[in-house]
Amino acid sequence: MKLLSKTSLLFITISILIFMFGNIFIFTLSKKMISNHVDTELVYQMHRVIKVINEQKVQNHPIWFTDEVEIKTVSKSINHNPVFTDTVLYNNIQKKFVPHRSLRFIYPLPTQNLSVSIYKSLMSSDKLIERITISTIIMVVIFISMIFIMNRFVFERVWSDFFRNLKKLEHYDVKSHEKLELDPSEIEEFNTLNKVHMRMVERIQDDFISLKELTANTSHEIQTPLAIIKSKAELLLQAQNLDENQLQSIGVILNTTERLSKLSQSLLLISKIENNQFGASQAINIKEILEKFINNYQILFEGGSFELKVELADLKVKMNPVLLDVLVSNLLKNAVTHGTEAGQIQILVKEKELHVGNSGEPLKINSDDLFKRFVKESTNKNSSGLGLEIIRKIGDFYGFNVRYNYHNQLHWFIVDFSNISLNI
Amino acid sequence: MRVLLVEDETDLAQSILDYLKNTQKFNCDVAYNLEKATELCVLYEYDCLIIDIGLPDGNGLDLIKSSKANHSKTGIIIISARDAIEDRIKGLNLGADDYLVKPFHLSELNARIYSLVRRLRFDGNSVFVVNEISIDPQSREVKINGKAIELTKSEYDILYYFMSNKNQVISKTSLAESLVGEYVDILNSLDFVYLHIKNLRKKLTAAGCTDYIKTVYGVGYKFQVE
Repeated sequence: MKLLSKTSLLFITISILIFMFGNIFIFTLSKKMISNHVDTELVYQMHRVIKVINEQKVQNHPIWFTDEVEIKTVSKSINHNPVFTDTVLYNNIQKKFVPHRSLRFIYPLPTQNLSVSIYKSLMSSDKLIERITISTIIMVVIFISMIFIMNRFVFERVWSDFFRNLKKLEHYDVKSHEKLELDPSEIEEFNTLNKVHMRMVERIQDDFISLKELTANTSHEIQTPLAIIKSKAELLLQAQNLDENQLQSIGVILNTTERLSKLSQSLLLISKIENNQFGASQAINIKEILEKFINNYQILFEGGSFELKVELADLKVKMNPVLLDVLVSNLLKNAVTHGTEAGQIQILVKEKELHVGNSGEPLKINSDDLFKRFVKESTNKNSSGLGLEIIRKIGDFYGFNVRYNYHNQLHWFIVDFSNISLNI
Repeated sequence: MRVLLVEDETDLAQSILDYLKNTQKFNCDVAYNLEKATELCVLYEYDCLIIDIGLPDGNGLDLIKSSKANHSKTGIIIISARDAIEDRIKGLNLGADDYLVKPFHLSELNARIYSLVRRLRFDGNSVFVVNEISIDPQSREVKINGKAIELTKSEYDILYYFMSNKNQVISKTSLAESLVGEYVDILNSLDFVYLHIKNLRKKLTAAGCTDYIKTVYGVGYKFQVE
């Protein structure tokens, strides 16, 4: 629920509740006041009636003052204090029952008593209450809608800075190298919020950068010690009096060092892509790059370990040549590394897409995880688990899509170059 | 033949020196910093410089500049952990002949030096001879006892690599990398090396050549001529 809807809803509910109780209060209050007033008038009437009876010395005959006074003779034994009652009488003019307030009292005479009832129509006072209620309700509705409109207006004024900055935050990428700039506001709380946000983002960015630097530096610094280990192992291999076991151990050292070095080079490459350390893009024809690599790898296919199917077409893209090399070589490397023996490798260029496929068993892992760092399908120790991550990073960098599917017993990796392709 | 190795990592420098001494009869000097290297370059005229770019007291690229200015015929190989393409291009533009990224195989460095030195010394015209095998690097022609044999590109490359690293144990990986190039780390597909070596062996022995190629189990191969 939006902030505005939430506050408006709360506001309306609370005001309706308040005004409802207010209206009930006003209604009962005015009703009470009017009935008090009526009662006072009735008492006044009572005194007048008593006065008239006294003056006329009425003893046996009831006297009709008006329609509203009713006098009956009752036996001497009936006697009580004046009582107020609500009742309904038939009005001959209006031809309907009308609510009345009545006051009944006993006027004592020597032989008998007079029971006098005075009636007062409540019709006009009921109308009054009705009018009051309706006009208060109308006022309340006008009042609530006025406040509601005002509230919206004020809301938009007051929160506009907040929403503008919220939008900026929403579109801000911590990985970008830009600094987060939030607009200052007249409202102190928003300024504090901005400061807190900017400080937090700065810290996250610092952490992010230092993490990247750590990876890059470690990968870089590790190369020299690895070079030393490798060179010493290679020298050891040349010793004359080694037996087969020793030779093999040295061979393992050499291969393992090799793997470690490749791994750190790949990590270095990833951090370089992330840090945008590759130079400008150029127009390159993917077909030429593919031909170069297929030619380079020809030696792998000569022996007949793979059946190679190539369908190339001209596809010009705007990309950094080194990154395109890395992309293509990693795709081919992936196909060669994971392709089954005597299986197929297909390299196709069609409709601004590069398809590289290799035969193999269906994946056991989730295909979404395939591009993640160090997620490996095979237990093949020669697979670094970084190749596809590199491919994806390059894709992210240029904003093109790399997808995977399994079709006809072939694993396909499809790179969609359409957003950076050029017309030939 | 005089070679100067400029490398600040003493251990690595020692390995390179040892390997070069094993295979090639070079007069090899070593400098651990730029200052010493510059001094040595002034004192002697080297045929080949092997330079690490990242040195503690400066950039190895400066040394390339100055030595190219003084002795234009000196061959230069850059070795560096910095595999940035800009450095490579900068180095090659300054006149370096080759570029190797650390960590490299000693056999690979050796083969590169071998090619470079041969090119510089004989202007590439010399024929490379090991016993009955002779290779003409210019025409890529291989002769056994004076009789030409037909080799594929890969087989020729393998033979050349073996001959420049004779009597050394060469790991399969280094052989594969020298064949396919720097982007390749298809370690599980090293069988392709075996396949090519098998064919090369067949062709050589068929032409009456001694089988110099020895398999070192679990590691690689050795081109044994002694």
